[in-house]
This record gives sequence, C-alpha cells and structure tokens, in this order.
Amino acid sequence: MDGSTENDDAVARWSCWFCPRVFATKAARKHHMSARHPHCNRLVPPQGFVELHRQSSAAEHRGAAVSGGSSVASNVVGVGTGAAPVTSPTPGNPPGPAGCAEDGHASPEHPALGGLGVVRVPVDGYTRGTLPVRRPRTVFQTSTAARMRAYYEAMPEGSRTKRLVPPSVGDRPSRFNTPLLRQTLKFALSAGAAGLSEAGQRWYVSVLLLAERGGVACPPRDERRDDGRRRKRNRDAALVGSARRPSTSGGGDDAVSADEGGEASEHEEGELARTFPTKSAFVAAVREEQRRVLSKLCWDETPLVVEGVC
Amino acid sequence: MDLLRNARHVQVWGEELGVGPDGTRLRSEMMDSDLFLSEEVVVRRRHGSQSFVLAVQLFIDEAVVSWSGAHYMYPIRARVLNFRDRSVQWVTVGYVPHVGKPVARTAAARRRASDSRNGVLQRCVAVLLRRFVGASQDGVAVQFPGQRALTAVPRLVGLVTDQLAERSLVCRMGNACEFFCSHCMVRRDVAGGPSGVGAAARDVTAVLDAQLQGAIARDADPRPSLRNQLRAAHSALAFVPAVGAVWGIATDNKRLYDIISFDLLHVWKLGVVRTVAQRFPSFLSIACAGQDARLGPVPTSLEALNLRAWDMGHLCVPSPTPPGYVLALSSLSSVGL
Repeated sequence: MDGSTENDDAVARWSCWFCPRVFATKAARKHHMSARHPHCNRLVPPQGFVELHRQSSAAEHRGAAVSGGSSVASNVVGVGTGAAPVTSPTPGNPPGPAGCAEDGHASPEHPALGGLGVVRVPVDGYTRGTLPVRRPRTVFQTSTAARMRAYYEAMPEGSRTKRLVPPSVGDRPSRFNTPLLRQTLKFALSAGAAGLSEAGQRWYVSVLLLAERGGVACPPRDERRDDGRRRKRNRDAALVGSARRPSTSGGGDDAVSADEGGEASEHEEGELARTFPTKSAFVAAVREEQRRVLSKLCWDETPLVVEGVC
Repeated sequence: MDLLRNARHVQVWGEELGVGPDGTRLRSEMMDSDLFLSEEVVVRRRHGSQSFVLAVQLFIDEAVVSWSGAHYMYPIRARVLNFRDRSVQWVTVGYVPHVGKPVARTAAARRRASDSRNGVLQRCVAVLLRRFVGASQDGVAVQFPGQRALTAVPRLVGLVTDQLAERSLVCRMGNACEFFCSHCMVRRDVAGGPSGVGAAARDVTAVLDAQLQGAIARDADPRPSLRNQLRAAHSALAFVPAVGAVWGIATDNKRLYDIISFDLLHVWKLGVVRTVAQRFPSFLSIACAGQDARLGPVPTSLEALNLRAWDMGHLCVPSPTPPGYVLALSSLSSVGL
C-alpha cells in the first residue's frame, strides 16, 4: 500500500499515519488504525506521509519540492494555520479530524471517491484493475419501514381526509346534562351491545314519558306535535287565534291564561318531558349527541378510490 | 395522548416477574411479556432512558352494522396496555368498509374483487396509522402532572384477529398455499411431522421487500401472472402490509409475525369447533372401518354432530379448504384405529 520493500520490512518501524504511535509490524499498525481511526482514510497514506525509516532520504526530496513551489504544498499551507508550511501528518504532527476526512481539494489528476473519506488514487487505478470500474448510480438506501410509509403517503387519499363532523358541532353543549338524561342516553346507545334502533328509541322514550306522567295516557297535544299535518293545522289555528285575539278580548287575557296553564303543565312534567317534549326530539337529540362526540374526538373521513370505485 | 394524561393509573415501564417454584419464569400479562420487554430495551436505547413504550393492540373483526343484516363493516378497535384503569377498554378508532363478492362469476371479476378487498383494507389501515407511524419513529413528549417530561414511543404489540383477517393484514395467502405458517417457512407437505421441525423462520425484510416490489408492479400492471414469483417464493400477496410501516414491525426486532394473536372468542367459537369438525369425516371413516357408526352412516353422524353444535350455540361451518397441516390419517392408522 505504501510501497515499501521486503528489505525495509525487516528493519523498519511503522508509525501510525494519524498519531505518534510506532509499531513493529505493518499488521499491528493496520489493526491500530482500524480501531483508533476508523473514520480516517486508511486506503492510502496521507499526502506527504513518509515512513520513519525513509524520512532521511525523503527530506532532501521534500526540500526540493517546497523550493520548487509544488501544488500539493501550497494547497496544504492554505488550509493550515499559515505559521508553518506543514505538508505531512507525520507522527510528530498528526492531522485533525477534518484533514483526516477530506480537505476539499479534488483535482482531476486525483479523483475523489465517496464513502470512507476522500480517497486519492492513481489516475490509472481503474485501468490497471486496482479499483473497480466506477459505476455511478442512484441508490435510495433506507429502511423497509420508511419505504412502506412513503408508498402509502404517495397514495392520493393522503390529502383527502376531512373532518367527519364540523368542529363547531363539538363546541355546542350537550343536552344530556343531568344524570337521568345521561343514563337514558347510555341505555339508548348500548342496549343489546349495539344500541337501540330509531324505532326502539321512540318506543323507549315513550315508555319513559309515560312513567314520568304516572301512567297517564299521553295528552293529545303531544300526539299532535308528532303528526306533521296536525302540527301544521295547529300552527294555522294559532295564527288565526292570535289575529283574532286583540279584536275579541282586547287585553290579552287569553294569552295570560294560556301562559299560566303552560307553567302549570310544566310543573307537572318530568325532567325528560321538559327536555324532550316529543319522541322525535329525543331521537334527534341522540343523533346530535353522537355527532357532537364524533366532532370532539376528531373523527376523520377519507374517501378511497380503489379499482376505479369510490 | 389526552387519554394518557387523564388516566388515573398508568404503568410506564414493564417489569419482569420472578421465577416460579419450578424454576420457570413467570408471566402474567402483556406488560411482562418477552415481546414488550425486548421492545422496551430497543426504545430506551434509541430514545434515551426517559422514554417508554406506549403499547397498543389492535382488534379487527367483521361486524353487522345494519338491522337487516345486509351490511357489514370492519370496526378497528385499539387498546393501550399502559392504562391500568379498569374502566379503560377497547376503543373503536376506525371503520373499514366491506367489499362484497363480485356479481359476475368470472376469474377477472373475482380477482378484481379480491384486489379491491385487500387494497381497501390496507389503505384504510395506512390512513388510520398515519400519525401513529410518525410517532413510533420519533416519539411524543408526555408531561404527567408533577413529573418530568417523558417520551412516549408507540409500538404495535398485538394484532387480535381471526385467521382470515390476520392473513389479510399481513398480505399473505390463505390456507391454500405452500408456506402457510405465519412464523416459519415450513412446507405444507411436511408440516406437522418430524421433518417439518426446524424450518427456517420467515425473513420479515425479504418478504416485505418482495411485497413492496410486487405492489409497485401490480399498480403498473395488474396481470396476475406477474405475481407468480411472489406467490411461489413467499406465499404472499402483491400488497404492502400497512402495519409494516410502524417502527419495530419491520425494523429492530422485526415483530411483524410475532404480534399476531388470536381472539379467544374466535378460537373457541369458530376455530376449535371448526377444526374438530373438519377432522370428523376422516376420523369416522377410519374409526368405523367401513362400517356404520352408532348413529348410522357418516353423513348421518355428521348431521347429528352439526345438530348438537347448533344446540350448543356454535355455528359450525366446515371450510371447503383442506387444512393439510395435521397428518391425521397416518397417525390414526399407526395406532390401529
């Protein structure tokens, strides 16, 4: 690797390329460098590195090179402190980590290879077979989990997710705000594990309303509210009555008496009847409560298009 | 995270139980299981000593959602094992639509319906786990009242399904394949016998890589002939298991096939009874040695068994696919039945 001969091996002492330690064999130095300097380029010695047993002969050559103004020397001086023309990381002057990894000056004569630092190789390294032929290719090296995540994130539904219920619905207060109403809601949604159907909810609340009234049959007023046609007729009759009321009584006594009657009936009504006067109101409130909870839990809806079917 | 902060009793780290009187290690629940403890080691090594595993189990099963029984849906339920409150149970976190059988009885229609079924399931799971996947990689900071901040790292430690859903979730073929075992590559013809022991474990990375490439190829060209290699080499489908994107499933300990666990209801109600029922024709044929059983011929005996199962409240529907992994005939003949 460093061009030494067998005669040199017999008497040589091998110094580390990056620190002052000296070893008796090349194998020991190689083991040391792989353990202590794993991030440094260990394929070729640093520029200007001279083995200990060759330093005497190399000093003359180096002096001639500096006096000749070689490009290598000038480059290293530019990177260094400038106080001394340090040209080689000899054992007495080890390079820093930055110099160990790369120095940022790749010349066409010394192409740089990626990977383990910057490797300067002979120009004819590829043709002589000392290095494999460069095959530049794009490699996306990542984990399987990351690629699977990217696969599904590239699907079109990634940006089509929207809130199932608008957030404003979740801000409304719940109508089931007393223990009795909460238990009623809980039973309606969990009876038989799957909850009651809408017909079952109507039946259930009618039984509760009947129990609240003490078993008395439902007054016709509530029944009329359930029937749309009758409700419309009532509204028409109320309009006629209100239009006629000033002309007949002139003082609104009927209205006062009606309000008193309403208060009296409210005193007789239970908590459930006051909150949900009709069966439909209860069913609608249950549905609205479900939407409110879905909004608070931030449920999303994602449309999928699979095999051309949405 | 809100549930985690508001929970009254939270167990953050798992604890290995001691050794029993017979010298074996005691295990009582998921928090002291080998799977959880090994994941905890990895998480604390990656995210520091102030991190903990937020262990999540998923439950997927088909459910009827209409009173007429005509519409089905797959609700996905989740459970966080760190919650030690008795009130915390399974929470429904998503719904997967059901893809019915095709109307046309052609191979192309069946393939299209099968692809739709697998695609819908995986893409729904991917949408559901979108934020979970990111959190499993980076962790989420959690501040408990009066304590210092911790890093919760979600991990999927359980997939509670029946066998059909399990195969669908990990994108593997059903029973009619060469490598039907979830954990190893034992061949169908030697499984259950001595030569099947010691089969190589499934290589999670290799299977997932092949499935990913197969899925990309299927997206470009849906011809089934392009999936033969995947089918023959891994008995897998050309779909990407969405749960594999969760950290820890295909990385580190690669727990994809270890997190599969069966619902006890399915094991008892469908699995055991159905498996036993599938063996009875062979059993009766050999046990009676060509003669009638006490209840009459074999079909009559099977009808009596089915009737008995109905009386017990079990739905007993034998699968048309032969199981193939229990050498019942050879073992029965060897004991002289």
